[in-house]
Amino acid sequence: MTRNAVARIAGAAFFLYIIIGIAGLALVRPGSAGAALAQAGQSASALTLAVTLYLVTSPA
Amino acid sequence: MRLSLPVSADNVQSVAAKLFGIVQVPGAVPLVGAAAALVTAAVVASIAPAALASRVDVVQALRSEWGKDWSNVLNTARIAGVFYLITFVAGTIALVTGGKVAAVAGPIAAASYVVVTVLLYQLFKSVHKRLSLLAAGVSLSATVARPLIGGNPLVFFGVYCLLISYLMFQSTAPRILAGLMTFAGFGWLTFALPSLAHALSPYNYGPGMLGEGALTLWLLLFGVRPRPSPRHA
Repeated sequence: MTRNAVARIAGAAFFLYIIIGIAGLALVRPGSAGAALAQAGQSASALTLAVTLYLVTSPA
Repeated sequence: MRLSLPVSADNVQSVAAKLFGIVQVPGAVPLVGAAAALVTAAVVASIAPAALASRVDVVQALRSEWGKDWSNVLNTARIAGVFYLITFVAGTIALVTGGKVAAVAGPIAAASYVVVTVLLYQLFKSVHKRLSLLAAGVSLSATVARPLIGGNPLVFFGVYCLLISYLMFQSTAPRILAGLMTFAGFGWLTFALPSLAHALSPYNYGPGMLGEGALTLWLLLFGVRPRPSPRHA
């Protein structure tokens, strides 16, 4: 996978994190299964963002 | 005159009303006029930067001679500063407003903080790699694994600020800035005890905002590099 592709994944994870976060807080009832799912999705997005950004910014 | 597109003014109004309370949609002319003005302003403002940016490979600019070339370290610091600023502004908005606005600002602040964490790790790993990794792990724990770990994320950020302040003391960062970050760390750590946090609120937000705000400005203006060892001085 090229670094450009990894950078795109990082960008997508960044926006996905925000979108899931907004949806989870604004549209889903607290304590519901949807809220738990949104939280899991946010965690996965944050982890993806961190790992991909690390790969992009690390020296070869 | 009503818009008859699938995304109509009524749909926009209902969604906006859910987010921000009572919202009244003006007529079509002000809506279209405002949208046209915004698009025009955005296009005019971004033509020159876009033309310049299109000639630069961003990934290459971020990666090239990382840690060796001072100008790239400075760029990294400034990118970190920009995302720190987004975190700071969005986090403050989320804190002050609450409700639906906080639901929008909160995730933006958290996502930006993930970027800040990774970039600060890259900046400070030349100072102390393991400690920088530990700091990044603590910060990411607050964002990634908090549902599993539980607790107030501000406590994690307190530990993070203390670790970053130690790394700053070991770098060329101004000592007063490192001291402010230590102060910020202890401020966030007051949230470990809810009764103490409640008694000190809202003053216990002050150290964090002061310390992290100062770090944001310093990253935007200057950057960070390891303090030269005595044998090389």
